[in-house]
Amino acid sequence: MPPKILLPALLLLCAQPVLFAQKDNDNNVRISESRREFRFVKGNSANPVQVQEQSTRTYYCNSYRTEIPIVEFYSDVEKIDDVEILVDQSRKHGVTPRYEYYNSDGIFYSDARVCYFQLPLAKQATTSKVKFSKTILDPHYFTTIHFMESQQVNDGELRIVVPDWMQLELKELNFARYRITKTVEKKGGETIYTYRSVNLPALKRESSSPGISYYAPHIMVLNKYSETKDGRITFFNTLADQYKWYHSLVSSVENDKSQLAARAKEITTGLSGDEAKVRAIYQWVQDNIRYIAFEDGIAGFKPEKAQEVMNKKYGDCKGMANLMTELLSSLGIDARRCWIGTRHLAYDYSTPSLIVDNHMICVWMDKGKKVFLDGTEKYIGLGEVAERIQGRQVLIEDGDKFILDKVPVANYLQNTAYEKRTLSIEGSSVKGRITQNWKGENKEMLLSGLHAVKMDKQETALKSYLGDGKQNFEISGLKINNLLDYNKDASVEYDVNWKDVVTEFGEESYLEVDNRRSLENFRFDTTKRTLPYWFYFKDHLVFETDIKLPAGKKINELPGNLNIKQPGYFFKGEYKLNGPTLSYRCEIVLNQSEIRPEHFSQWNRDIDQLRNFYNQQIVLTKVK
Amino acid sequence: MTSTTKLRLSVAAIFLCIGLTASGQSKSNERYYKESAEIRETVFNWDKPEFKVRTVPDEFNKASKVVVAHHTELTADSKSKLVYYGLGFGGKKELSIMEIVREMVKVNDKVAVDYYSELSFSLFEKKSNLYKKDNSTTYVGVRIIKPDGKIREVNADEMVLTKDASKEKVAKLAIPDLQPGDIVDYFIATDLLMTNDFTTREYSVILFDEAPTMHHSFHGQLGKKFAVDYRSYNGAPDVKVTRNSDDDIVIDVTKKNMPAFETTLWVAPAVQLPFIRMNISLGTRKGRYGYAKAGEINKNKSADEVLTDKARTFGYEYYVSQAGGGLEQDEVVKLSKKRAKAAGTDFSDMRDEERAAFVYYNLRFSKILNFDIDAMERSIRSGEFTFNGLSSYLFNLMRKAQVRTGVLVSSTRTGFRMNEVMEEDDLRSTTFVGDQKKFITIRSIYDVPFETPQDIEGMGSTKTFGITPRALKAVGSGGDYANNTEQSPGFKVPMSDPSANAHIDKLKISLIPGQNTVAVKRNTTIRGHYKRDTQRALILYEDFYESERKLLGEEMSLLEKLEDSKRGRKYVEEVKNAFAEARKKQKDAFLEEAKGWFEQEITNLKDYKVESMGVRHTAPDLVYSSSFDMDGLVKKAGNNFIFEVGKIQASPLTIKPEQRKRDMDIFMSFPRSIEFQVEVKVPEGYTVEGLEAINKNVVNDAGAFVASATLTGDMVRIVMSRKYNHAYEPSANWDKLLAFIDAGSEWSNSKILFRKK
Repeated sequence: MPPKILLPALLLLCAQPVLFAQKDNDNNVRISESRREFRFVKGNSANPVQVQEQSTRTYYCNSYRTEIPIVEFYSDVEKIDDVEILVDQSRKHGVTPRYEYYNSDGIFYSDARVCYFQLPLAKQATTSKVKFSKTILDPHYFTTIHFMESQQVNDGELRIVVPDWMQLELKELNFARYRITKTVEKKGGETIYTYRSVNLPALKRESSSPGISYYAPHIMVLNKYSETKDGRITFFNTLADQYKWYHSLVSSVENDKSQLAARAKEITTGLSGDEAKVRAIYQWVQDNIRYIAFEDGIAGFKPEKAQEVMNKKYGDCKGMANLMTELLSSLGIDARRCWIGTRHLAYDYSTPSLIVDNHMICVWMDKGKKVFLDGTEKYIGLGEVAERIQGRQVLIEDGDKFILDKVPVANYLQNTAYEKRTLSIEGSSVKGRITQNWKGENKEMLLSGLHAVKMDKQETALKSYLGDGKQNFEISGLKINNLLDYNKDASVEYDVNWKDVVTEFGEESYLEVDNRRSLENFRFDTTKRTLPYWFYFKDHLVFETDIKLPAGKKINELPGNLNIKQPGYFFKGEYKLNGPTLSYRCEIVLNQSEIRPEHFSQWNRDIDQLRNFYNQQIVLTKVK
Repeated sequence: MTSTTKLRLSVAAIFLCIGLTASGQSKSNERYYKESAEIRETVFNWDKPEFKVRTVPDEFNKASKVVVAHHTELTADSKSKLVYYGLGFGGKKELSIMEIVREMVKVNDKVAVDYYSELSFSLFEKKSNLYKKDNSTTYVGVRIIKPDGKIREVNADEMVLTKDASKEKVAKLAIPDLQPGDIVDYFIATDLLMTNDFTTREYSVILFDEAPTMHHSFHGQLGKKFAVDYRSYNGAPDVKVTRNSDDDIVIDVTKKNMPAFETTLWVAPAVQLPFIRMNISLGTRKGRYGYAKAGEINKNKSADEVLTDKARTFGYEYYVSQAGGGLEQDEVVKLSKKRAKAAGTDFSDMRDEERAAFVYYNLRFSKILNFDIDAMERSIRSGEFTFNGLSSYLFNLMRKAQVRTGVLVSSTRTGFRMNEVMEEDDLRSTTFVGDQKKFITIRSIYDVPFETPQDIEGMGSTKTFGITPRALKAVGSGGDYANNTEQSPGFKVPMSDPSANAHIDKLKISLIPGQNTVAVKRNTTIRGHYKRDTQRALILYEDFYESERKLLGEEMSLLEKLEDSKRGRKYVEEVKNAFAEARKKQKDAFLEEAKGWFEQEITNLKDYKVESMGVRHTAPDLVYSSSFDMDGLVKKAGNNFIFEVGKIQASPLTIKPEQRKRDMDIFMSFPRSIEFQVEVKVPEGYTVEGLEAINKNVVNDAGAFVASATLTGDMVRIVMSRKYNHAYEPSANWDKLLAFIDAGSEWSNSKILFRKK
């Protein structure tokens, strides 16, 4: 075969980086000046009111030369008109912006696109400048303006220029902790809102934290209406306007009633009573409709036809909600589509805007009682509600009107995971039978994990999960009581031979009872974490063990009990002796799904106590 | 010059977000849709009985998916054309290659449904210049066959574009109505149109799959101007190659009823699993200089031919180093002589190995570790980069430094066998120096002269390359560069022993009664093939540079050198800042390394230091130390407490139940050992018990697990070592491996008791 050329001079070009660690330029680069202006202008017949955005950010190199990524989003309704880049005051920098579709996890296709490039900072104490000119074609989509950036912003100015023909409200959120001032000026038929910020820190993101709308300073732009000589255009003046727009979208969906009715009948054949039918329809959608989301333009707001989702077996939340609503309605059951913002969003419907919701579900109006059905929650039972929508305001379809309500808040008992062991000691092993039950979101988590494993590997995976992957925790006689019907608890039982768990030292034997040790390492690094921690859900873990002591052995002293009670959680653990049986019980309750930073230290102390409790060994001595 | 294009015809990967291959659409949408429909009509109506099967044997019902049929159809043709290039007329070869891969899969569970629920593919790519307009178009077809036999064809034209540039389009298609129990029948067809492309296209017919496969086949029909090399590996069926009446080359492979194979621990597919490789290219009239000859069919091409190709590349690189290139190497040699003189050493008096190492260190310092203010972050991150060994470069450098040198050409331990190689890339070139034939490589800045790369250890069937006396006298351009290369029989590469690739942790542990945390003073030595990742994590560029600078006799530090230059002076401050930033992060790196190694909560890290970087042949071990507090080892037991010493080894390898039965030979990375030497002082007022239970001694031919505990005064000393003697074990030794692996796993539960007096 022909030779390949490898010129020695290419020595360094042959080098391939092994990894691209994300550079931590927090302190090296800051935005010394940020100037942004949003100006409402009259557009064309297709888009009569538009918003022009000009942003100029000057990046300053504090310590050493580097490059930083610049990313600007756009879409079908938000165009980038121009990008200007200056590096150390020069246009000769060789930087070319790239424009691509934006791939977002969980979204099959959307109109979101991204303009991006690496911006060089030529050397210490120099600046690079980036100017974006953009046009938002429809004020419906102009919902928020954030102040924080990936870098610290020393001197920020944000101007919103609103002509008299445009009516809006600006709602300021999370300003309290930051130095942001506002002035309002009336000038030549325009109102100019100017916000100045000083030394805004860089935007922080931490795992399992609330969405940025909870803590980052920003403005909600509530566009009411425009009034020009061409007439009045109402955006979302009131929630009724927002509902009207949503309702018009769902009303225009051409659902094929007869096809849906036939399928609904087929699914519910032999069932009587609404609840059984609702349960069957809900589980059919959970089992059969895969989550594939298209968010291309209006498809981000308008559900796909129900029969399309039903036949294609895929859809997004809107598609599933619409399908469930139509299937149930065809059976004469009162079901409605609902719009809702998940807990990731800090907003509710008191501020009508497209930003306040991000999800669609279905509600069954059961004689005045509302039962919410979320087709995207794949392994949850009827009446169980995921943490992410609990307590959230929900906009329920009601013909031309709407119902504003809240999804009920479930307590931790919805998600109980219960484990009961009946064991006896045989030499260095502990043997016996174990039963485990999971409810609610614990059940959903287990089943999601299990169904992500190939069918022929599921039993092995389940055993590995039950035994925490430990080789000395041998499981046999696995009986699956229920892992298929999400409307019942998930439940398994099995025999265990837990080897090498009893250690002999002289005439004493030492035993550690709890190998689950839930939450034992769940500490917060208080030197680093600044944002609240959000658990996936409120949790309830109960672990009970009865161990029959071997003949000739006794326990002189039981380890001390654990009893920690805080407003958001409690940990309770105790040992008891009932004749020759040692009973152990540990209960962990997270009755709130959030731990706030001011409680991290207390939480860490409590976790230390929990770990100390787990670390206590049972000492068995010979009966003399 | 051409390059080799690799194309693997295993479509299993297609459903992951892939760019299958170049594909294109230079035609209007309307035409594309029409052609797409025609191809679907054709492919879905292939007269192949295997694609008419609708049931799978009962024994496969529990499999996540079953490949009912998999077929690749390859058609390639070429024609000559006379074209006007602007300066005159010339000939060109137009190639047309159609590759169709069709697969029919029964999906039995949600995992399989999810896998096949989205199809991503590169739809369009155009590569054109003044002389050629290459493009390719990809067509897809998908249909779902329901258990009742009903067929639903997916409208493939409903694809969405996720990249829509003029020269490249990438598309995605959501697959509707797919449920467990269905059969998904799909194909991807790529029509490539190319000009003067003599590229070798590699096709691999992979005859092992994680899913059971009922029928797997390949059919190729190549025009008579094409050439094909092919070989079956590891028990794969023979390839049937014939010619039809038009003299076209016809290739057929069929394999039925392949059981599922799941890649398990320590497998080397190239020498253990069945597959077929075919190299297909447009041939030239004479087939010289590495180009295939038109119409040539080679079954099991001789490794000598591949070696000749390799020799040609080597000869060419020598030519370049002599004529017009090699200035960089001359400069390094000159610098080495200068530095040797400054150190009071006569460069010409140095022995081969000594001189080789000296030149090597000068090369590394001046060309790889050199600091470039205009690429400062790249300089600081130079440890993150890998190189390909740079054998020719090093050979020519050593030759210029008058070091006796050569290049060993071999296959790799887990790569194709030497007598089964098919192309240059299957072979590894490694430079050696001196009488002892010790290796020098540049794969990263941390390489140490005279260490043998792990992937060629133990290789016996080898060749060496040098330069012919004639070429040494005068090398000219033109002709076959292979003639510059002198090939000689090679030598057996030694195998390292487990002590050469070692991770040794010395831990001094202080216990405080009543506390769960222990204080640890740690000193770690890492040797041989184990070092690289830890070096990358812990060694600072500045420290590396300064250490080498001193060893090479450079007086001024990097910062002093910058201060000393008119241009550099301006940048000293920011270089200091960048170095300070890197140093600040070193603590986190030490912390993460310790957490990762011990798998316990580590706090209060201090006194962290790299004692020896392990980048010199005179001090090849990486040695570092630190102290910290560690959780998770101590448990309260009434008035006493238990020290869970077994946990010091974190999570040792455990063999899963499904892996315990093994018929395949075992290919591991290298012989290796891990050792913990733990010292624990018995706290005042306590006695220690249970030391005898710590002792474990499982030693056999394959390796060992040995643990011992002794008490001297109030000091408990525990030594634990795990050793894998070889990189390769025959399957017959699996039980021996299991014996000491299991012993190590059981030892994880080892405890000692500190009893209150």
